[in-house]
Amino acid sequence: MELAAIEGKFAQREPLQHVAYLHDGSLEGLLCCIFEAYVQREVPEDIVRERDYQPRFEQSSFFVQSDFNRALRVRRGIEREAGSQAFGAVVRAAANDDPCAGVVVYRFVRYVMDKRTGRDKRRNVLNDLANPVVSDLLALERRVANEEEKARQFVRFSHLENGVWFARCCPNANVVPLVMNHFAARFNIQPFIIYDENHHVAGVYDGEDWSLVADDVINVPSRTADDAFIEKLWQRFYDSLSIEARYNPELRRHFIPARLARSLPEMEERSRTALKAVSDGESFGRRI
Amino acid sequence: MDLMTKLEILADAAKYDVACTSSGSSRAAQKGKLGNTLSSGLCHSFTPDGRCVSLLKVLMTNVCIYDCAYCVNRCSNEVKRAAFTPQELADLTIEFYRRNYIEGLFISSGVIKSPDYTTELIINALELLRHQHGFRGYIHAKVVPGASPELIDQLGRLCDRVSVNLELPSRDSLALLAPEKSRQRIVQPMRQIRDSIAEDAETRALVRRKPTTYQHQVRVARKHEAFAPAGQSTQMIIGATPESDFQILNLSAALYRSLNMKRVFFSAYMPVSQDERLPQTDAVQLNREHRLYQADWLMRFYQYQVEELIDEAHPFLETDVDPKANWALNNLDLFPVEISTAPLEMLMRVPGIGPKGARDIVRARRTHALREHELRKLGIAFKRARYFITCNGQYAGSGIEFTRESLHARLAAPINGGRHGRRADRVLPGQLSLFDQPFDPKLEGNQTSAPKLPEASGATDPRVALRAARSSSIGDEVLALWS
Ligand code: SF4
Repeated sequence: MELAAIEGKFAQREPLQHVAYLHDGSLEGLLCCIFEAYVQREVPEDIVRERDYQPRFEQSSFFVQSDFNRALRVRRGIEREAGSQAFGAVVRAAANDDPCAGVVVYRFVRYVMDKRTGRDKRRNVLNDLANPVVSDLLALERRVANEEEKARQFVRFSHLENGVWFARCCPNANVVPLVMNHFAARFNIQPFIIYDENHHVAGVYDGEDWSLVADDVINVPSRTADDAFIEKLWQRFYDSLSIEARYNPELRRHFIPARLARSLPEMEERSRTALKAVSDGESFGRRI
Repeated sequence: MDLMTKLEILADAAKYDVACTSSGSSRAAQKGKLGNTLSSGLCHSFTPDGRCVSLLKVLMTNVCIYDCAYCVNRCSNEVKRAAFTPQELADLTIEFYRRNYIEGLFISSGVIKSPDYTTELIINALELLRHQHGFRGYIHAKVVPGASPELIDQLGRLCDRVSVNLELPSRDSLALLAPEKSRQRIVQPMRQIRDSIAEDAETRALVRRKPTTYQHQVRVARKHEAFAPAGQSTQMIIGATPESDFQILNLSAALYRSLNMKRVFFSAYMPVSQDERLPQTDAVQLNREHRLYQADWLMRFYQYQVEELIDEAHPFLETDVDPKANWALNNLDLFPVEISTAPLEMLMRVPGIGPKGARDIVRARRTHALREHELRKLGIAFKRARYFITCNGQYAGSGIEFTRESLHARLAAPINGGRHGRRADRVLPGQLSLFDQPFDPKLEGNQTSAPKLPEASGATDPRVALRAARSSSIGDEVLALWS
């Protein structure tokens, strides 16, 4: 069914002026807001996740319940009109923390659904780089893609006493859902959890499949003794790599932004004597 | 010796090996096995000098029976020696990998007992990794010069990438500084690796080919594991010997062409010894290394030919403009180009426009006229590109004289090497304390006709021999290596 035809077939309320749509922060939530806009024939001023909402002057707000089937219909609509790559761009852009992301995605969807946009333009929408509707979406997408890469690079697992491998991260976009396929394939022999402290989302891989859990607090058992030792080995390895004559911390900071450096064991402040003590005193219980 | 100390010694000894990429091979994950590889590679950390850390880069051992002058591990150097057992190394790799510290292993080694013995040790470790641990991550192994062809074949099938170090940019320098590594010992394995990779690709194409007739298709059994699917690379030290950029770039172009190298790495010589055959200076030619990499990049990703970047009359790359800008300045008659119609290859040659930018322009110009605003949005470095383009017939760099001198001043950009380190900003390429008189690249370059041959009596003096190496023509070198 055409998205435009949706209008009028669902329960309508009085149209709201200056309305902001709020959602639960998931991709489904955002897509349902777009669905709602079609149903209500409204043009929302803002589409934001509920926890980030800051009301504007004389603005009303409306919370849109996530509904998987509605979201799926929006997805099908985008894929039909603009192809699956365009939907891929929407998925990434929607993960951006920028409060404008919702509206940018909404405008993009309207553009590709609009019959006045020629068929050819709709099909090749991602090539239309100088069109602000498209370039805004792609700018959001690019930033998320970068953050995704950072997660693949800098997520660090520790081995917990219950056998699970655990990592914390604090990305500035909701990228955990986007990197779970990568980690679940690569580490398919180890059950693991990646917890995003900024978005309070945990990606959980149980050894077979992965799923997302929204959780504000997460209790983690302590790590194994071996794990602490391996981390020390890693730090020592890192320290040995440095070539004094090439020292260039500015360049390193460019690659590892300070906000991410905090969660990297190799960037931890430490003195070489402390390391020495560990290597002399502890023994590694395993074969190594 | 405990593992911590071993790791420290063997990582420290391996750090001058520049290559640390994990790209070029794409092996999908498999249920029940650890790891995969991504064709783009992945950096997991960065050293305090900003180099990517992608692999656990260590030596199997830093014990070495050879005595290469430029190397910290040479047998005449007094350093602490250590060796991993194959099991230690395999376990350590797995432990790091599971924590997402690394993409895999980069194993190199000093020569312990004999090249074959050393290679066997490495093979043992890799077999443990691949077979006992079922490891599917990235492995890069260095081939020890002098190892037998059978062992190299075995090694290549356990690795994603193998490399043989060229060590130095000319035969004479090699003979002088690494007398035990004869040229054949380096080039022979390179050839063998090239052929094995090619053969392997052919077999794979056969297996993949769809049956074209209704005849029952004979299944070609996969005899072996793939041989080094990420190809081979090599590296050479620059600045320890007097070869010019012209020689070095021609050599690397020949390596790409004749040996199908995936990468040729350059590493600025770090003073590690008091040997009188080596330059005694504290300055490291990092800026030169930087320019060489830029030129290398242009050859690999922008389809520049080496002759376009450097010629014998100017055998060193410009220090204050990058090689791409320099090419544009030398070919001003080809500019400015029209953004709305220029072919992709020409767009890529505009300073400030990279391959991605060029592709984006081609995509975007189908539907929109592109002016400054649009180009900036596409991520083009408009500040540089403006002098070389017109947008719908209008010159974008107006107000500037379109001459080499005036544009040179606009494009000159010092290399930002940070505020630390021993960057040899003020050291001219080739001007090393090794030479009695300051070495003038311009003068040297013109001297191709009459190479300064050492006097017969001085032939044994390493300094004299080195000076001779400088003048030997690169054409000979390349031909002699690969004829
Ligand atoms: S063979 Fe390798 S490790 Fe040994 S001295 Fe020469 S360069 Fe160094």
